[in-house]
Amino acid sequence: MKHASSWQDFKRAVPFLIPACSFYALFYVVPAAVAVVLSLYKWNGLAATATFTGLSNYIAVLQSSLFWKSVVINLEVVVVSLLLQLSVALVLAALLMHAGRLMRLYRSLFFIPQVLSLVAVGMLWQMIYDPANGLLDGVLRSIGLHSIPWLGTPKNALVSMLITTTWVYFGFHTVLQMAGRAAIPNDLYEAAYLETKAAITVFFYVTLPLLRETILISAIMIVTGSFALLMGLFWIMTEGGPAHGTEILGIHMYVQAFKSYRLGYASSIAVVMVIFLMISVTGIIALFSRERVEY
Amino acid sequence: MINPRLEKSLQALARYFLLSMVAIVTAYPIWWLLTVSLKTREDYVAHPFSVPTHVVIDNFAGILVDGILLRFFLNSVIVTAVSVIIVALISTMAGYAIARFQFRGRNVLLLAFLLTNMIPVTMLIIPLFLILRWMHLLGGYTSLVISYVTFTMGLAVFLTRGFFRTVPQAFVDAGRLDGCSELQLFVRIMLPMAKAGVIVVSILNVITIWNEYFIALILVQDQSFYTIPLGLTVFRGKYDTDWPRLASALFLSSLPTLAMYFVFKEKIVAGLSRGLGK
Repeated sequence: MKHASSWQDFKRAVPFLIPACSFYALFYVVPAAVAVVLSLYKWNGLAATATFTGLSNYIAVLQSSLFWKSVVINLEVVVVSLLLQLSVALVLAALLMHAGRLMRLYRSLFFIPQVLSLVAVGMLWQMIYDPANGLLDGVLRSIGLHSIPWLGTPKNALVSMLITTTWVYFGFHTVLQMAGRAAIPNDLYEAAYLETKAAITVFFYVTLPLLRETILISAIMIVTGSFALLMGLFWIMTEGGPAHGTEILGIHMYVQAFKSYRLGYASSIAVVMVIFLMISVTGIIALFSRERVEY
Repeated sequence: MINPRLEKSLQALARYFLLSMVAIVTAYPIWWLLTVSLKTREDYVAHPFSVPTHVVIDNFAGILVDGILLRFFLNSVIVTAVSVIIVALISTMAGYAIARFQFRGRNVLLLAFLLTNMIPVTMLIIPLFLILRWMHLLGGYTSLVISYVTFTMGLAVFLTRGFFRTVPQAFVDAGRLDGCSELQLFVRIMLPMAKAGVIVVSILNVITIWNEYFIALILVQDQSFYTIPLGLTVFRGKYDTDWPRLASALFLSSLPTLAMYFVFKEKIVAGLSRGLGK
């Protein structure tokens, strides 16, 4: 059967592509372009005119200590999230593979926080962290310890947010890693166990390399999540505070845009964020892309 | 040298212990939320983390009677339903085209759609807000639906394309021989085969869109159009120190997605595993 030519196929494909591509063009590409253009202006969003300022917004951003503070905080969130979430997910995935019938039960349970609205999660954890009536401080007090202001100081708040974030997302990454593990044939493990009895050795030399791709996917999602997904959770729980202690880049951008009305400036933050994001993702992919492991 | 049987049992014990610890950490906050919502305010202040002395359903009753939750619930239902349906339609069409037609640049297109997952619409929220305002679409459901469709279609296209790729060419050829038009081919043959995939993607989208907060926060100013996540912040303001009442609002608003999850959880996990596990 003769293959239709590339052009003919394209003609046939077009009607099917138009709806999705229209959305894409109108509400994704155009805003992206607008963001870049807007970043060259100074505008408060309400005035009829905007002043062209060229690259001065970018210069201001790069000189802003608040911006760099956000970068550091975002970095801390990313690094800790990567370490915490990936290790928890890998360990749990390993444990669950041998858990037999109960495996489904545990897995369903771990996934639940993902399904809850992050507003509900945010408020729930605010309640948990509440120094007066909260769950954690209640426990602490009953053992005779002082209550800790979990969200009260910048350092504590960041740690608490990381705890909450891990609680929400670990289930998802666990499921992901389990899917990756399921793709590894069993005989490999049998062969490995013939060589050594230590499970840990097997884990590091057999499992991990083979899970490279799923770990990569998790890593990318964690990194991109810290730029976008976490904005809602952080805003609900701390609004970036106290004292900008949890002001990740996304929140910083939001505050500049909608609280300080510096739309041009905020757009340049957005553009810089996109650049950072692309660098991070490329970096991570490069890190993981040494020779493909074949079996 | 330990008896191997004993060693295995100990391993199993350790394994279940660890898993159960994690399970408790996962589940307890939710259980605590429920117990708080069943307490009176005084009871809560006095004993925050024990079982309620009298189980009280006033909080739940109060919320339901209050009525705004219903409005928020309806808004969420409308926005979610419309968005999910639109995404299902356009992403199956696009996924089909990318999967089954050979044209130059189709991989680039796929990557372009995936890009929306890496640089989510949330980062473009400022210009999106401005564009929607300029188009006078800000009030009401339209702006949310548009944003959510754009937000979720990237992954949906990727996943449906994966599903369409598995349809055997024989079916397509048979259809063409029978003289089907392109549209008939799509609707009569392709769609039914990819039904499972579309359902999984849609369920995921329902959960994502229903729970979405940040975009809604920026785009919806009119309280009567608030979705549930936004509505909850209204509750937080309203019942500022009445934690039990807030807790009951949180619990009630989580029930729909929890219910959806429990009904479809196997499908969700299986779909995710298949779609992402390569």
